[in-house]
Amino acid sequence: MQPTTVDPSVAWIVWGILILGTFLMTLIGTWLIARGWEK
Amino acid sequence: MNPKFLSIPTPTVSMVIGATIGVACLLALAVFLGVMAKKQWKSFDEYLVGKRDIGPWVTGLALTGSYISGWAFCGSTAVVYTVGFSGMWFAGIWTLVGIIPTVWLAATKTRDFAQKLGAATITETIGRRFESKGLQTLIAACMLFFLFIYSVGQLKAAGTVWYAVTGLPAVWCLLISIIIAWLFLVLGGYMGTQWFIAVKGGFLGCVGALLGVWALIYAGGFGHISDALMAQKPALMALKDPSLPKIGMTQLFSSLVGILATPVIFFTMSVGFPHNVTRFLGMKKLSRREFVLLCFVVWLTAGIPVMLDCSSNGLVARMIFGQNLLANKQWGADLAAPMLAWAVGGTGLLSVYLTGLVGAALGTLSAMVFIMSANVTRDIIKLWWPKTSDKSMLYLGYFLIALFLFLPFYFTLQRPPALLAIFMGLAAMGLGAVFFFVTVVSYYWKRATKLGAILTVIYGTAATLFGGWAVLGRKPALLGMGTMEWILIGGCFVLYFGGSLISKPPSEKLIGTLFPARASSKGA
Repeated sequence: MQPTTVDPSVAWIVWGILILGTFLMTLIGTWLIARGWEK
Repeated sequence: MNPKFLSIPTPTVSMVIGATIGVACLLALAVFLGVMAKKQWKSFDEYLVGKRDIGPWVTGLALTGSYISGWAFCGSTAVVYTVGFSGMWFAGIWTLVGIIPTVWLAATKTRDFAQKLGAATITETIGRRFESKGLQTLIAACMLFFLFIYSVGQLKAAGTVWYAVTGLPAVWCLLISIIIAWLFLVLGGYMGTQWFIAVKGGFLGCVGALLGVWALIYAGGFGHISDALMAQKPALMALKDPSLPKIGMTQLFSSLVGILATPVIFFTMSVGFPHNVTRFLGMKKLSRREFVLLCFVVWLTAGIPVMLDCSSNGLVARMIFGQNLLANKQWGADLAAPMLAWAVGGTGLLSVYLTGLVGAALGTLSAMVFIMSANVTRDIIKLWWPKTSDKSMLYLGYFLIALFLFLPFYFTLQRPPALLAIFMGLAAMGLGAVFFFVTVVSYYWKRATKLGAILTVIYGTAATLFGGWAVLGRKPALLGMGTMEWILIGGCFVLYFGGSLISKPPSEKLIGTLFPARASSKGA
């Protein structure tokens, strides 16, 4: 068993990046598909 | 029990009354929507798919509702409560990486393919896409297998929350759940299910966001959560916990191979789940504005609520209850979500949350059982014996719905799974791996053939059975769950594309119907 060294702030930063990143992914992907939509 | 932390409360009169009123309202709503939807269908086809005129709000909320299951609201919090931050990868932090591409890739294509092929179910759509009755039958059997396993966890979630509030034995919790589900499935068919799941999806989105934000405020913010959990056990705040075994289920928390598999699991699960993709069968033809609205509705209701539920909620529950919930041998960590609602918001929030949670379990279960019933009636019996009357199919469908609700009910009572998320994990992975290729990739790759699809279905099912033994059944485990996901996806990929390329392409007539020239297919 390995000893675990933990920095909690790293976990929260990664968590925040995931929330923001998936929001941007939704925004950009939807915009790209909507651009090419059939009139 | 550790007296430093809160313990599971004894049910009080106000908790019983609050939960009873909430669930009674849910039951009344389900029956009302079922009765209203009964006026909307007049034939077996309309019972199965409605009139293909449902707009983006109901479709988006229904997709959220079918995806946010009892597992998402109960099991995911339980995983993080048990192992800490490293559990969030598997618990649902990738939800949007799955659910939004589901809209992008499957919404308009599912609707268009089903309409062009005159299909009323996803199985029928795939069978006609590949011009094969044999494949349609094989897929119906495969779906039945996976959905049956997956449905067991839904009942456990419903039983868990009812027990947590009322203290009544599980048999009553589960019996009430299946009677509710049977009633509105029989009355409302596809439309009733779609409406009920949509209302539930909207409600869950609001309640999930409310609880997530409330729990963070109650805990005093990120710093307080970190301090409290570091004092309990530092590994609870680690993004990867190498102290856990690197084979078996815990590979998803302890190793990079396992953690990297989790976004793939969530992507293929969401895009491949038949009960998710089925939500688009009854959708109207969307304008650009309506498509953007559909994406927004799904992001709003399935995004933030689930991401909080599968991460910070489990951590705050651990901060408040320590390991005390694990002392309950029957339900254990699955009580983390409802107990968190009670701890931060008292009886009021608990009642609202539990109503949503019972709705979550019932809604997703209903969506799956409806597909299972149609797998037999439409995709096997009607397929091979087309002269069977619609009335016979309807009555058989009513019986099958009762049967498919009863079987997981019995199985859950006789052998309750230890941890909801663990039990359901592999069935969900298999379902996603097989149907991601067989359904959605087949919408885009015109060269896909029935040989590729058949090989994928057979391999995916066999690999899932092997994985169940190798990852969860064998002691000690032979493989990690993440490794198993790579074996599943890799094998399905090779067989789907390889099998298609070595066999005869689909007919020109089919290609012409489903894959029109580029100019007219824009926007799909």
